[in-house]
Amino acid sequence: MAFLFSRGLILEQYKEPALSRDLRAFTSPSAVRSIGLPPVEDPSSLNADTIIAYAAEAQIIDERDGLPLEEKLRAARLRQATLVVADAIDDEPYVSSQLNPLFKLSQQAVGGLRYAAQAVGEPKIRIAVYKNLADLQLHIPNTLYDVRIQRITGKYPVETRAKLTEGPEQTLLIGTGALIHLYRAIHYAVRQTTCFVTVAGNCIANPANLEVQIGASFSQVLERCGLIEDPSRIISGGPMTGICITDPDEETVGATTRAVLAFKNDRRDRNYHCIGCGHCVRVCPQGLMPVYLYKAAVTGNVSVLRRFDADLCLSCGTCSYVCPAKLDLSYQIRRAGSLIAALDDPSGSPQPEAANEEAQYAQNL
Amino acid sequence: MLKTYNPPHIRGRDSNKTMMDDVLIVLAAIYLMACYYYGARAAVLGLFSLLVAILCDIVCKLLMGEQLSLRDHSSAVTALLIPLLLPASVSYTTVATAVVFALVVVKYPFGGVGNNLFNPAAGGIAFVCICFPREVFGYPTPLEPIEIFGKFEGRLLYSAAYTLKAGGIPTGGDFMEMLLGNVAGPMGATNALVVCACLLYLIVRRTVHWQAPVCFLLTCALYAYLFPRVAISSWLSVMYELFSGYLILGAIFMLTDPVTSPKRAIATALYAVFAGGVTMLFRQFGGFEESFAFSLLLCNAVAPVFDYLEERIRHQIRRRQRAKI
Repeated sequence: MAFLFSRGLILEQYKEPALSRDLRAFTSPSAVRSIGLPPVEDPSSLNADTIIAYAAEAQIIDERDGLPLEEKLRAARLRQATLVVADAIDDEPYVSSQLNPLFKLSQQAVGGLRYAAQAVGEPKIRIAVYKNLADLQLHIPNTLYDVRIQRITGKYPVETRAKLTEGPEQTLLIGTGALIHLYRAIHYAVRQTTCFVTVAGNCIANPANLEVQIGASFSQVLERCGLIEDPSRIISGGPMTGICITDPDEETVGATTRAVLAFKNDRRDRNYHCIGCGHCVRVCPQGLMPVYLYKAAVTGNVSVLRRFDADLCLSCGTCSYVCPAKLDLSYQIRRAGSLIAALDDPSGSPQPEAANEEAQYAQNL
Repeated sequence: MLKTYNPPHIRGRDSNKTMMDDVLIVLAAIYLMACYYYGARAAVLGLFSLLVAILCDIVCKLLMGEQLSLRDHSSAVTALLIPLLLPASVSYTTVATAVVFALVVVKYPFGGVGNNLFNPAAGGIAFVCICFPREVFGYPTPLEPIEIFGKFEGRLLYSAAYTLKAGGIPTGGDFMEMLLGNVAGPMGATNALVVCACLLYLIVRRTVHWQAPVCFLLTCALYAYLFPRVAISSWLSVMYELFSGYLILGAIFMLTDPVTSPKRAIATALYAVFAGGVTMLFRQFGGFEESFAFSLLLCNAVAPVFDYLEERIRHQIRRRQRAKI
């Protein structure tokens, strides 16, 4: 029932065929960097501090949020997390760079999850996958090496607001990629030099998930999977939130790159006038009013942006997706939202005109 | 050639054009029913109105310095709606007056599509109601074809709405006839069954939100049940109030006009209840037998207030939640 009442989108997933294909390596053996700690022979001898030391030494970045794994583990240990979840939700279409390694390298992923749990202090562990995957050729079991796989229901975006627990538990979400790298750091004493990337889109000949050397250029990655035709846009990240790349020879894959998508659309961008249909208001997962926020963002009306809480925008792209007028809602609101956040930042001095707005806003109250 | 685009890179299939086309499709169904009752004149009136609207569109857009486009169908919706709210015997000049007023006075001076404060169709109808009340409120007999061109010479009937307004008790209260539209009334508004089927289609296609027409009609029905205007049973009062005039048609096509209605669900529902109350009060105390267009114009003026009020409450809730964290 919660599914019916949650706000958001039901998106076609287009995860196949990349999801069920084998994970392919796109690395060079010379790039392997060992760390200053020895490989662990007997995992039972590990304690929490050593695991965190390995995570720090291997310089693992969580692809979920771009934070160092070491910091996340330390913070979770301090607040005594009671649940550690391996995040394989991948709620954006095309992207399967967490789900695919989870099943192709399941031993490493689950091993990494157990180590992470040990580092935090032996809480419960779980794996989260997105339930609304209709076109799967891959069978998702209920448990993986005795770890329960929890299916997350809900409309897009689910990743930021997934309900993982019933009670008020302290949860720690770690991306599957980071867990695999943690396992490798402990068992093989290597540094994180690769990341998992989905290569897909309507210009790609062989959509697949690759394990890519960090620092490889986008054009190398695209060549590895083959281009059928010249794309009109290359996207780093998922189709809902990813950013466009203009120079694929220079731009490189980083630890948080989860997908490289190449699209060619012949459709001309048509811009209509806003007719105020209110579709954006009814899908906004944060319960904001993108229609008014957009108008305020375009005209730079700070008081309206504040009153309508522009800074709560997740920039998930849901409003732009549904907009029948094809307006750039999400981007403009996010831009205005960060402007507001900068104004609120006590370290920065507000602009003179912004100060006026501030005074007006206070008067209005 | 690589270009930059802002995310998201995939978009939904619906556009302004598909939303307007949905409305045009269901309006076509209503025109078919009107042709069944009043002959080809109904369709010709619609086409004539469309032609006038296209001319107005071209002139207004050229004056505003906007590009002409075939993708903007909003004026077509207004143009096809206006004849449906008038009797089939109406003269061509009256239709043209209503359409020109709707587009040139109510829609384009405020900035055109998406910026108008008032529903253009309601504005046009209200204008001709004031200018030509005799013509607008006299209805031909259904199932008697009217000659396509020229002035209507036959006998004009009063609708049940007029009888109610005058304080009399309407006769011919056959429920099935009223449902099917075999009674004197505006040419597209009497066949309530077809109009309700259209509502279903629009709701399923998400072109209109269900809150507005459903809450509005429920409010009107409740008011009619509680305060019958003449000495008839409560249920008869509900039936006559809903099926006389263009209350249902207006609730579906004019009240739900996206531009002039609130955006949030609860605000829309409250707005619809408010509009229902105002409409029934206008019917009871107003001067015309069908005053929905006037009450709608009044409600349009306060529509944004509902949105701002709900947003204010939500802003307070969000502020509390933030304070908790």
